[in-house]
Amino acid sequence: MLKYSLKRLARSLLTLVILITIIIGLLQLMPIEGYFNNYEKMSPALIESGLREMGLKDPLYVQVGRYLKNLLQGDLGVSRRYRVNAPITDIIMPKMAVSMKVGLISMAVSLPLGMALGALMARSKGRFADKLGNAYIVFIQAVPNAVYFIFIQLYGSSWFNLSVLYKPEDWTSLILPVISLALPSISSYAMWLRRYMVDETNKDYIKLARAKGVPNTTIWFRHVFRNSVVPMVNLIPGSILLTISGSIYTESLYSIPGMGGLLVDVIKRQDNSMIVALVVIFAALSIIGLLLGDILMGLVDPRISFAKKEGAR
Amino acid sequence: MSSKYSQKEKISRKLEQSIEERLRGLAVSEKDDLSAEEMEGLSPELFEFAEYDEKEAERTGYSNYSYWRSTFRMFFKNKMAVAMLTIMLVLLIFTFVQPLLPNQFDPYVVNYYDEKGVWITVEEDGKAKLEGIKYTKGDYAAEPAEDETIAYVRVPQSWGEPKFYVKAEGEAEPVQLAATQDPENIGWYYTLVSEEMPYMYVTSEDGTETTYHQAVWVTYDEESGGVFSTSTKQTGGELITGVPAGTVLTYFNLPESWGVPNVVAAGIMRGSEETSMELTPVPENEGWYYTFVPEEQMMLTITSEDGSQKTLNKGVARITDPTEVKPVSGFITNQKPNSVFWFGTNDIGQDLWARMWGGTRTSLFIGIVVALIEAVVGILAGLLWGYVRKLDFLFTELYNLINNIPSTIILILASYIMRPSIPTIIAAMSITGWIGLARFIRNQVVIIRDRDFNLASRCLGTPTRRVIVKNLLPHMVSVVMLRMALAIPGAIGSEVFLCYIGLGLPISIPSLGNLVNKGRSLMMAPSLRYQLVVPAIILSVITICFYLVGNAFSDAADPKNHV
Repeated sequence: MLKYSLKRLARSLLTLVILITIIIGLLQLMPIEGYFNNYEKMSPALIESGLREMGLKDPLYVQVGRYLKNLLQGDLGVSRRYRVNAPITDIIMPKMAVSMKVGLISMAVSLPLGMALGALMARSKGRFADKLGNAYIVFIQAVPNAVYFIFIQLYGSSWFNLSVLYKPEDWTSLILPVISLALPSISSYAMWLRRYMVDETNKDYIKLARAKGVPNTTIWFRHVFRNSVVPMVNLIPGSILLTISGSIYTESLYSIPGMGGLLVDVIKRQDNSMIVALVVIFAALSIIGLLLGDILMGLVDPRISFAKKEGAR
Repeated sequence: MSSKYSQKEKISRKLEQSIEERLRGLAVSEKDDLSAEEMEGLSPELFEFAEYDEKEAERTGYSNYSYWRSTFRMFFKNKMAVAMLTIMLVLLIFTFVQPLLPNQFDPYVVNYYDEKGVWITVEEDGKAKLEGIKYTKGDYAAEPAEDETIAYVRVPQSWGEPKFYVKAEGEAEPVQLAATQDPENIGWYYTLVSEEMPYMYVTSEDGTETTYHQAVWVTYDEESGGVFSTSTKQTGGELITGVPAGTVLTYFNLPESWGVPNVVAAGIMRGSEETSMELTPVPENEGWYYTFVPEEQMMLTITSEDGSQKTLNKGVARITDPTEVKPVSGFITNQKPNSVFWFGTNDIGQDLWARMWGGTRTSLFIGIVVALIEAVVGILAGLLWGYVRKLDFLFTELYNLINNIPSTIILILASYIMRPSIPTIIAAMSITGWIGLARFIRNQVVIIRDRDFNLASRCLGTPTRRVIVKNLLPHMVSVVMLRMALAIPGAIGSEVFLCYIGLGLPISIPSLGNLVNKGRSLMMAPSLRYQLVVPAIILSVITICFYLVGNAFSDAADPKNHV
């Protein structure tokens, strides 16, 4: 287990290094105005010296090496256009806390609701509640979330008299963003739990339990539910990954000063160094999420052994 | 079920019969088998070499089962999916037919108000609305001269043949103009109005109904902040009666947020006596108030209820000239849906109906191309991955790399680096999708390649091509179709997302993402909300249809479900 975890960790770090190399390599192809605050007024000589000073004229491996070295020291570089010459870590830290708060609240809402919906749908498979739940899942999965987020904001604010934009001192202004974030995660939790539970009910040991007369409620809660929750554990760290794209929308729709909204802002201002930093952070978060998910599943379910899985191909 | 059994029985009975017949036909010898010596003695001419025939080889083992027929039969059992497929096909065909329909606008063209004509619609109660949108079809019924404007008028049926009167500015005598019916546009009458006498009003045939009234309507223009006074009827229903002598009946219409406006009437001279007016709501006309303004105090200062808002200029309570026939200038911006612009126009005067379908075409094109790239690249890469051992390491590492990073992030990065245009957006969306399909194909190839039925086929001498087409492909079709069907709404959604974060197509190219995004920026103005609602509905219908049809088809195409 430990060996596997360490191996996975090393692999994840390697992935990250490759990603950083690709990004820095690709950014060489970009127009260079993203590095200067007043590009239009600068003379070519000034631009040349500015680029040299930032080290952008160095060969790729030097740049990547320097970036990694700074990264290890917790330095993500400085912003060029978003806030001129401010260290990116200073910009990001307060925003991370805000994103985390909104994300965790919505997770606390969506996880129990999604699990309850999934269990309900599995129990009433093929009946009305299942069909209704399926319609909801299809809608959420098929329709781009930009569309229903906009309508939630539009009608949520006018019907319930809630604030259209986020205000730190007013907790009611968090209701709509949390609903927007929770709707897609509820649907994905419900979908997966329903699928796992339906699969589980078709297994032989459940048939045996039924045959020997175990009460239905006991079968559902002691056997089916428990065994279906195990693969869900794998999903939970990964669902942080899902909320990233969701939070890009919601945070900029409601002007929440978080990371997702920040990404949209820096793209609009074409701040190259900020974009690299944010992409690296998002990628790192999701890589860690997947890693934790796999390790967590191994801890929860003793039947899972990673060593065997590696060999069997 | 019963048909399947009878099917099998039929075949076996046929076989039996043919064997029996064959036996009966032969002169059966008494002896059943030959000894080794006797066999040696047989001459080879008695034997015929059986050529290998692909069709004959497997005929006995085959029922009349056809993979695709079975798939379609399964699919058409799903009523919901068939309904969705119909909607989808109708939408798809319509997006291509739409530009060929008559009276369509170009989605890129900015529409201007007509330069030489105006169109006046008179309602039952004498309310007249002048517009610069060309409601009539074809060319002008009469060519207006340099200093003339052609005025088309549509009056209610009960008015009979309308009479047109024009007058010069001020207290001039009205002159009647000939009203001619436009033969090509039923219900429209036209006349040519010269610049010298541009103020026109319309009466009914018997003269009892008119658009020109002895009252004043004061309206507010939110954009400029100014007020306008007119004697052309603006409110519905009958006019307020019992106007005291020496006063002018004046109507007001101000924004809802103003509350009940305060109106102070004063004389023309500065410092003259001021009177505060008492406003009464007009029955059946929400937002309208009326009052009687003394004739000598015609200058009206209008403020909102709490005094925080004030109009830029003063209202004038004087019976003004009737509707001025003068072409409207500028772009047809933010026009509500009407009979010419079916979905209205946007803020620079482009026809939203045309942009809507143009956008659907663009988005569907992007979606279908992305899905095709994903399928082709995914299948090829998957087969290579499965068959070529040397490439296994490369593909596995690539898969781990791509799978570890959220596809949203890759999408954002790719579209940031490549400047937005249709090909770059397609490229950015195709970076991640294929690898998932490739992995699936690879796993299927590895699993199925050595299954018993493949071994059997190979022993029967079936060529590899046939093994791939008949034994491997059916196992993959369902997943390939599902992924393609889901890639289309996925790509459309990604396009909306990219537009939202500012990395989408240039705003001039109509696409569903651009339209939704444009609508979103206007959503706080309730009157313009239609610009968001219409593309959002079309977008949802398309994505839901593709999603459901894709799911239903992949269920139907899965050989496990073919009983």
